[in-house]
Amino acid sequence: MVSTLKPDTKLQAQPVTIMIMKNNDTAVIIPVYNEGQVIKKVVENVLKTFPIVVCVIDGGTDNSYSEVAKTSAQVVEHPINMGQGAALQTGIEQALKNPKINYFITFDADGQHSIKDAEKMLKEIKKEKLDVVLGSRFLGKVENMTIAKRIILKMAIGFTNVFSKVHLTDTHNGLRVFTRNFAQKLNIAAPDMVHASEIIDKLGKGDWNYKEVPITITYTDYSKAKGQSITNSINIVVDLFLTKGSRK
Amino acid sequence: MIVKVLLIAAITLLFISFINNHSTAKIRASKKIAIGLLSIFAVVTVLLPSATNYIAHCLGVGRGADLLLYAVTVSFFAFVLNQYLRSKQDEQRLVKLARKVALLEADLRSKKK
Repeated sequence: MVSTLKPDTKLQAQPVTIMIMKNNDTAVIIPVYNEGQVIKKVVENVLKTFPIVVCVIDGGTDNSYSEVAKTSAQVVEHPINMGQGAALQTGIEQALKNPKINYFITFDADGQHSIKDAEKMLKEIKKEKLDVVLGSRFLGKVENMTIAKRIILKMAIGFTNVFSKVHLTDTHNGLRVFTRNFAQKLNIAAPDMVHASEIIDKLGKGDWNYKEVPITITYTDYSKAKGQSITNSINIVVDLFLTKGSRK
Repeated sequence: MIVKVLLIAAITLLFISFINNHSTAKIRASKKIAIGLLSIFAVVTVLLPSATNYIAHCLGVGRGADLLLYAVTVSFFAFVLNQYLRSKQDEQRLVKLARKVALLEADLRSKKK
């Protein structure tokens, strides 16, 4: 009995160690703001594929912190709410402390992104030796997106493409993969949602190799209720105008 | 007459409190000079309202009061812009400070483990 059990456990242990060894050069950064309902599930799901996860709790009033603390993800907690851009930058700086991290993935906390897409993008960045790989909803499949949201997003994309040199099909997507080099140079200054345009702007100014990859976004009822409202999208468009005006 | 006394007293008080405010060390010398000139100009307009009329005519504006209104409008916009830029700057500083606190706290926590 014992002799047959031993090789068996070894056989079972092997794929597990390979799984853990895999992707330990990659940090997944998840900005969290009042996502207590879903965050534990989302983080646990990510941890299955990516062992290094940095959650940035961006202030907030719910149990997000204690939920994330139950997992093996690293937690950084902002003492006050500062916005998603600020949270991403904090996450990047936390991950940069670890010299083994060569790739950075930004991932939304509400579970609208898929791990498979993240893996696909990581493969792409390694294979083609790119600096940045961006996920695009409009190259891929969009599930349950409202028409109003689609129009506003398309407008934001149009503006960003006009003002920055890059041409993308989706500029306000939370799923991105980039290298350590890009992470070090990025330095997001916009604390709020404008950071998405800022990242694209930096991409256009530097000599970076980048690519868009089609991804699938699932708008669940939860993410729809939590996500960017239409008024917020209008704010993004207005802010784009203002920041562009002041920079010139 | 009483109005003139009150206005001049108010201008002088504001000017003195501005100059005496050592905590605002960051205010540039150019701004201090500008405030000084503005105070002098304010006192002059209170004492000699006809002087503004004269300046207005020189500049091609009908009345001194109109000129004052334009000046106030421009300085109000300058003030708003200044405050806006200041608050953006403060926000950046706050973000950096809070980020540092958060990262240090995360370090402490990981050392305890």
